Amino acid sequence: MKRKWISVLLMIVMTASMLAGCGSKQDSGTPGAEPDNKAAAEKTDESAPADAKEVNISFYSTQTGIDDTYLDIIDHFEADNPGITVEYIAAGDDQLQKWMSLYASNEGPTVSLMDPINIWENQDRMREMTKEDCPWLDNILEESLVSYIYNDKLYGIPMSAAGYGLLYNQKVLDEAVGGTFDPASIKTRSDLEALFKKIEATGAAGSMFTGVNWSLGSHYLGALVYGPARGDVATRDAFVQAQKSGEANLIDDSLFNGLMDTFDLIAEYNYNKKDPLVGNVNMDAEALVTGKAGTWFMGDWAWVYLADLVAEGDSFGIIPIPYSDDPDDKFNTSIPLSYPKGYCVDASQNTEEQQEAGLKFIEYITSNEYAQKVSIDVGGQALPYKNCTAEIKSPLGQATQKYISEGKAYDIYDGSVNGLPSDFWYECGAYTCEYLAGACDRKQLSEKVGSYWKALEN
Amino acid sequence: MNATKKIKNLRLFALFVVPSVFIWMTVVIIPLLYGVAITFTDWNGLSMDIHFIGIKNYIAVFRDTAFLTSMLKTVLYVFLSVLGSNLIAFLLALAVTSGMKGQSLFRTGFFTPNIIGGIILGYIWNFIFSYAITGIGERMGIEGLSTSMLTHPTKALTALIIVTIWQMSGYLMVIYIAGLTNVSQELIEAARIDGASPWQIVRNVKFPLIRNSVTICIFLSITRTFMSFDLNLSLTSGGPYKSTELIAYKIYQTAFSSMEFGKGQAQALVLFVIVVTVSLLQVYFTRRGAVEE
Amino acid sequence: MRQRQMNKRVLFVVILFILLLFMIPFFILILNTFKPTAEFTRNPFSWPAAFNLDNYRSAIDTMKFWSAFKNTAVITVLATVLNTLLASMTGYFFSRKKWRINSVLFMLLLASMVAPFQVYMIPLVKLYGGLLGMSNRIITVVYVAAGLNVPFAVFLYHGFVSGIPRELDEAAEIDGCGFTRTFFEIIFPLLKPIMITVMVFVALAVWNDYLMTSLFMTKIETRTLAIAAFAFLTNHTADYSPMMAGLVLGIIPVLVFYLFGQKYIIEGVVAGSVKG
Repeated sequence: MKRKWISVLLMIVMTASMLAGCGSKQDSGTPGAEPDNKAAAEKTDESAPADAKEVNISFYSTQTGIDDTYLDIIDHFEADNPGITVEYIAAGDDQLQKWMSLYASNEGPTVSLMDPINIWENQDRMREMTKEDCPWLDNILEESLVSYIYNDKLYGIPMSAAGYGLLYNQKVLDEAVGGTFDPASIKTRSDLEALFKKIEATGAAGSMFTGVNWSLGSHYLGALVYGPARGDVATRDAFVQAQKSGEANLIDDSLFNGLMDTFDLIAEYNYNKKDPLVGNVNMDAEALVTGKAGTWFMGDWAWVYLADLVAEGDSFGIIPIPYSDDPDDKFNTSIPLSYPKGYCVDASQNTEEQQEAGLKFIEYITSNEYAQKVSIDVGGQALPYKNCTAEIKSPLGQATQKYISEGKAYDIYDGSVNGLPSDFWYECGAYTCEYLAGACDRKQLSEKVGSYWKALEN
Repeated sequence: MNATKKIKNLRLFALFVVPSVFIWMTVVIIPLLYGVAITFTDWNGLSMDIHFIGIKNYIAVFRDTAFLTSMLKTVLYVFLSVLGSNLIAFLLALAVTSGMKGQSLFRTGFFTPNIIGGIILGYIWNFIFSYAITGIGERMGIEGLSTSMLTHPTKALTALIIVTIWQMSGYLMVIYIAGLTNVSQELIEAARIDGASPWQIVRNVKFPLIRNSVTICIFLSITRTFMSFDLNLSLTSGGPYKSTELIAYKIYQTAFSSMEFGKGQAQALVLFVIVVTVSLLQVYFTRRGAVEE
Repeated sequence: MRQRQMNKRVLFVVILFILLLFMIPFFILILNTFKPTAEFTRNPFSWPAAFNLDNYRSAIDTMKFWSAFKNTAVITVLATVLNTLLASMTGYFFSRKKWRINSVLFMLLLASMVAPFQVYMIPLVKLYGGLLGMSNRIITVVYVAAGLNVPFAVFLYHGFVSGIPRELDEAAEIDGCGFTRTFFEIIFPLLKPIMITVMVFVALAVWNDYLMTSLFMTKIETRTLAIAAFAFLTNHTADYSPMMAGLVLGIIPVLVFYLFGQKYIIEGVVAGSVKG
């Protein structure tokens, strides 16, 4: 019995040492420094089938929740483009870390779907997109490209348009106003307050915040206080500079104070008031659909949370966030909008053939009828492509679309994608959460954000 | 020592030590040194241009008050978690090995939290803290329980410690059990016949004989809690408002969210030095204690 | 004597109660795998209206369960075996031969256990993925996983071998056994309980590892269960119920493995007490 044990063991030892030997040979077999990235990429390509037309590309998506949709689009793309195979790589919540590790292993994705700030920070790796290379650029709405043009060079193509504000449940608001609620009737903070009061009279909570850093830090504080309502790019940059040097403080800023008054108003009628930082999007979606809360500070992307819960006949829309009590302030009646993720093509670890195939893939996603249809059905958001005729089924996406077509939507980046550092939402989002929880007052919030800026200056 | 003996020893060394040390060197040490080199650069983790910036990253680490606050919080967390989990693990191991019914059920049961990875556990506990406990609190009208523990800074840290103890004590228990089963039954019987009380048996017979297990368990729990990342991420994500950012989580944020990879690496190295010092001192002292026995 | 019996019973009840407390999270987890997501969102703690297995079906489908299961199993088995073999030998050697180089290496091994993985994960990828082009291969993950767990396993074996009387080795040597044979024929069988324990620990660590594995296994076909489950988790469609079913499916194999290991640990205990 014992003998048998030992012989089995010895066999395992031998296999194991062979395995280890394998690894070691590999290890010592490649001496010297890291090879030039481009050369390495070319080498891998050559080792692929000899047929020159065969191209393997990869597509890295950071848009979670729609893997199946992309796989479906890829299947169709591959069928229409024999010779090109697309490997799909999906990110989770660790999008930057995974991107880094892909690049570290020399497998930088041919096409990546990233936030504009990430593309901006890594533009030295990206391929510039020109009209000569990509005649299909004409199909993309010009205004949607602004976030992806750096130094007059285009590096990305937006995936969708995302509008946000106060989502509302039509049924609840109809009951509150005693008729059909029209979001255009809310022109000032006072209008909003009156609405909240009416909603509360029906027994539902007037509004709702999801107490998470990305919503409060990025969408509220970041995009609104540092957004286009302040002025053009130069004005906004000057304001940031003044904060870095300590000359300007938020607490003295009228835009900030106006927005925080609205913030306080929402917080006062907050469905989650008792425990504001629980921050569960699913539970909040459920509260909106079931009418426990009348409105919700969120965006049209929330449709993926709502869709499973809504019943026949339910309807939803978006109310803009009022900055002030001035009914003529155009920002009070427009919704903030962004083109939050864009497709970019890597030029640092992919061959020319791969890059071209990557561009072809982007062309397909942005202009193919089938690709547009499935994207719109699943994401529920408007697509910034001119030839798109697919109908948006999500009432929230429809609302965004309507605001855009009426000229009542403003791009929160609007040419200044690098206005806020990539950790702003995390750091300052924490301060905003603290404020919502009542753990600091407005002055302290202003000081905390101020010290965030000052620390960057050092 | 003669030459043949030397060669024989060398051959034994090559057979018993070299394979494992080789694999460890190639997987841990070489990348680690590479990582140290990065701390002297301004690399963002992705960019193609890297500049040598000397010890600037280290200066930034020591100047960063948030880093120091996070370190202090981590020390508190480590201390309470290590104490709690070792105490519970030891008591559980004693109880389970005392010859009671259903031993294997208990052994398996208490270990189960380790079968699932930290990230997933964190999500499950998140639900419990945010909805189960608050639900109970509301129904029973207990004000203190009706809001989530995770939305209050000190309570959230407590929640982290509770879950850590919950998970780790089953793990340590297994090691304590392995140690306790080495204590011969005859010795215990003999002590019992001599009139020793159960407590005296534990203190004077069992405890000294499992000194090795104690060293191992304390070492493992210290290192594991200092490195605690998964649970921190999925249970509190550093919140509410960054109040539960333990050090490993903070490092991750710096390196991968703020894209200050060099600085994150430098922070990690500082942590490394601290934990090495603490844990080697601990091993040294518990070992010395064992010799003195 | 009756007093002791009584005490034992009280202790049993207390421990049982603690165990129940320990198990609540799993109970909640399993309960919710039988509900549709909407029902779960409404009340995560209610009894399911009907026990249906749709979530399991959809999880098996979405996670590509069988492919992920196969990858995970192969990686876990190979890495654990490789690790156990190498580490038990080294642990024994370090415990018996008190050479200076051994104690230095041992200290270095211990120290490296404390190194935050984040410090060397990107370099690790640069080395094995970038330089050697070994991404998306099972062998890479096996090698790295076995290596990462070497210090931990050596540490445990070293500790337990130190508890085995040296007289045993000496007796074997007098009987004419060389060092190598002494280890494989005398010591190795004695290590069985701790070996099972270490193997369970290492196997669990490898089975559940997300971060390291995800650095190398980027394709959908090369995913392990942990990666597939995590993909589910961060999938913001928030389809929680199938995700939890996926988690349960991922746990079952490990649980079976642990129960199996359990049996051996108890056997080892029995063997030990007979000899003792």
